[in-house]
Amino acid sequence: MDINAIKNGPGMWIASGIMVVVILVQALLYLRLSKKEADNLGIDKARQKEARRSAIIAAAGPTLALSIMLITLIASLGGPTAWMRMNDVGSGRTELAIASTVKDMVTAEAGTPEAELQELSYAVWAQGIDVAGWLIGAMVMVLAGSAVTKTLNEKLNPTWAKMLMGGCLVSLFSYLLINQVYKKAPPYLIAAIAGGITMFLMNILFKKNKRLQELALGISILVGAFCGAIAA
Amino acid sequence: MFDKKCLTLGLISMCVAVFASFCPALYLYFAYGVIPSGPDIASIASLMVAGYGVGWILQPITFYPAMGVGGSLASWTTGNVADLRMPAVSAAQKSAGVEGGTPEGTVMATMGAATSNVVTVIWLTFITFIGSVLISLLPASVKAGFSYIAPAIFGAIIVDYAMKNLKNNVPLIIAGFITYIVLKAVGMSTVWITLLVVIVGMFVSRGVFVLSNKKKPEA
Repeated sequence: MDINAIKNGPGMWIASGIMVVVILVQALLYLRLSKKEADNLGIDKARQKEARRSAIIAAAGPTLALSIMLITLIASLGGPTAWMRMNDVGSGRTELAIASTVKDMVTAEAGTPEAELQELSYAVWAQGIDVAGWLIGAMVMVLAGSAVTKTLNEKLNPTWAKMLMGGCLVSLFSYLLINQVYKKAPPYLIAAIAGGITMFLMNILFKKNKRLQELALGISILVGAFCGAIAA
Repeated sequence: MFDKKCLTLGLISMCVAVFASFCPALYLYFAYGVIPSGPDIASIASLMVAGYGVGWILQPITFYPAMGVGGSLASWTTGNVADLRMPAVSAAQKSAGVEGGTPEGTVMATMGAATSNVVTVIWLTFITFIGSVLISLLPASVKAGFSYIAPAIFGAIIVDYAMKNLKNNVPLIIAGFITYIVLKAVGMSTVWITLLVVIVGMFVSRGVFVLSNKKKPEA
C-alpha cells in the first residue's frame, strides 16, 4: 500500500473537488445576486465593473502569498487535501497543526503503511470537524447578527447606524494593522509605513484619475512588500 | 429582501459545504475501510472545540457588522477573512463610491467577497495543478517579500480610511491601537482582543457622533 498514491489518487481528487465546486458555485451565485441588486439600487454597470476589478486587484496579492503555504501543504498532506483546505475556511497553518496533533492518536505500529493510512484518516476527520465548526459557527452568528442589525436599523437614528457599521470596519483594520507590526521585526513596520505612504501619495496625486485610484491598493501592496523585503 | 436572499443562498450552500468537508474522510472509509473509532472522533471533536471553538463563534460576529449577510457568508465559506476578503470588500466599496453600513455598501461587500472567492479558487487551482513548479523556481528574495504583503495592505487601507474621513476615522484608529496594546499587555488572546477593539470602536463612534451633533445643532 503506497500512501502517496492514496493521498494523490483520483478518489481523493474527486472527494476533495466537491468542496471546491461548492465554493465556486456559491461565489458565482452571490455575484449574480449582488449584480442584480446593484442594478436595482441604481449603481451603474461601470461602477460595478470597477468594484469587481478593484476586488480582484486587492485579492491578488494575498492570494499569491497563499501559494507558498499551498505548496508546503501539498508536500505534507497530498495535492487533493491541500487544494481543498486552502480553498475552504481551513487555514494552512491550522491544517498542518491538526495533522500533527492527531498523529498521536493513531494505534497502528508507527512507520507501517497502516499507520500512515490511519494518520491520513485521522487528519482528514479532524480537518472536516474544524471546517464544519467554522461553517456552522458563521451560519449561527450571521443569523443572530442579521436579527440584531434589523432591530438597530428600525430603532436607531439612520446616520448613527451607518456610522456605527462603517466604524466597525475601521476598527477591524486598525486591529489588523497593529497586530501585523506590534513587537514584530522592523521590516513589518517598514512594509506598513511604505504601503501607507504609497496610498497617501496615490490618493493625493491621482485624485481625479479613477483608473489609477483602482490600482492604488495593488501598487501600495507591491511597494510595501518590496520595501519590507529590502529592509529584511 | 437582498439580505434574505443572501441568507438563503448562504445557508443552503454552507450546509452542502459542511457535508463536502467530510467527503475525503468518508472516501477513505468506503474505499479503504479506515475510520477513527467513535470515542476517537469524540476526542478529535473535543480537541477542535477546545482549540478553535471560541474563534468559530467570536470571529464571524466580529466581522459581521462590516461585511453584512452576503459578505460574511461568502467570506466564512472560504476563510482568510481578515487578510484577503476584508481588503477585497473595502476596495470594492471604495471603487463603487459607497460606504459600509448602507444598502449599497452591503451589496458591494457581497460582490467584493464573491469576486475574491473566484480569484482564490482559480489561482489556487492553477498553482495546485501547474504552478507549484513555477513557484519553486522563484528566487528566495521574491518569496521573502510575500511575508510583508499583509502589513503593506493594512498600512495602505488605514491611511485610506484616515484620509476619507479624518474626524470620524482617526479617533477610531487611535482607539484601536491603544486598546490592542493595553489588552496585549495583560495577556489577552487575539480572538478576544479583536472583539474588544470593535466594541471600544463602537463607543468611540458614539462619542464622535454625540460631539458632532452638539457642535451642529439641528436647524
